Amino acid sequence: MNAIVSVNSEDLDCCVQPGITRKGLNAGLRNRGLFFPIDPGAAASIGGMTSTRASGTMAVCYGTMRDNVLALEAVLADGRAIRTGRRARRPGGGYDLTPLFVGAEGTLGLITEITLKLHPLPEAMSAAVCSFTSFKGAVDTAIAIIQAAIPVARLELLDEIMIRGVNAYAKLGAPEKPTLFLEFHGSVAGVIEQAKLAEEIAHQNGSLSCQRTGKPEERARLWSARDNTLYAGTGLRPGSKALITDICVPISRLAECLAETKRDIEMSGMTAPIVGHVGDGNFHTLILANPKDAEEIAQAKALHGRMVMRALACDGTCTGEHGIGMGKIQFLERELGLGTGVMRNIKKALDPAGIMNPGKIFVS
Amino acid sequence: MQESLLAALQNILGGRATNALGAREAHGRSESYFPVFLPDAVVFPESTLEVAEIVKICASESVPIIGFGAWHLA
Repeated sequence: MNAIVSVNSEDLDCCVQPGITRKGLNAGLRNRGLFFPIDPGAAASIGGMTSTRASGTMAVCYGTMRDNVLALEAVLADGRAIRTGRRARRPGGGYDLTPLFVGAEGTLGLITEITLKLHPLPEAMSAAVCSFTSFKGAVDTAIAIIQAAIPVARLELLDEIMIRGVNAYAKLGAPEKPTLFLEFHGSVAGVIEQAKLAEEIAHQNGSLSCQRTGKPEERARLWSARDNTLYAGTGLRPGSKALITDICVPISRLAECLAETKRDIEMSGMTAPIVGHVGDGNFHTLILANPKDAEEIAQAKALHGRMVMRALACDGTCTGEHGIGMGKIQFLERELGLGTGVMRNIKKALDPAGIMNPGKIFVS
Repeated sequence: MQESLLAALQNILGGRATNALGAREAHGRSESYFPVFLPDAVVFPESTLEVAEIVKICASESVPIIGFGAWHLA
């Protein structure tokens, strides 16, 4: 089930089966001047991206899966196949079931078809890599770019440890410093203006250098390096697995949250490179631990727990895009309180026997 | 999983329903730190109708169903 069912160029939408990857979809759209921008890195399937409510690097500009799924078809636990909406841009009347299934992690039903918004390919795209003397300078730059409403297409932070991993894994050759990867979409003049404004802000925050490029192959190399940060990160410690954290906070709280997180990692003595979709206040740490060492896993979980408590204190969330799964069950109730009880009510109503992906989101 | 359940799945899916160890292992792991968790069987449906049939068969025996994507994250 990996077909493009239909593309409606004039409506800027398409209908796909869940098994198609975002790369496969974009390859199929290439000759139409359209693309599907949601990019969680890797060749994720649209069904998986829908079920996890994926966001990724371009969400800062184009929104998350929640914003880009117009409607879907799902098979419920009793075998009924339902459609949650039509192709109209507004969701229609009654309860909006589409976003209920987006991010439900397969616990309410199996998604069998997805209607997606598409976007016109921008006239021009350019990228920039800015290195900073200080971590704070990089973070403050990202925040100022968002607050100045520069319409960046991507705005990614990699700390110096992540850069070390990326240099080794992808031969990026970037200075081993806190770094921002940026991308700009728009008209030819527009992307130059955006890049100049962003560089000015970076300069005010102590950037060492800003390398700009409009060449497609150089942009591809940069984003491929970003996409492979999980492997680049675990490569820093062969044999390790990463406990990936995913907190997300309001942008005004990002600087303090990142600074405290970095301090906490250093104090813990663990290796945990940071890579973040900072334009949305979302960042990951890859806490590297030996999966066979129970004490290390416990240490990693404790560090994760402290990060989540910090995020909640900033009115943020334990997950910006990866979902709850099994690893964040203990945080959801703390985050939403009675709201979690309503989720359980919905789950019980749609899947009373609890056969749809049990043990995820809640303890079953 | 009961043999009869797998047989019922194979009845509609043929070779696209399998309990071969290789398929179970490939669909029981992720890139996370969690240990491998083997499903009893793996099915490869090709239509919504087939998904609905699979769900009805599994629901009749209260067998859990877990969707599997492309096994990737960023």
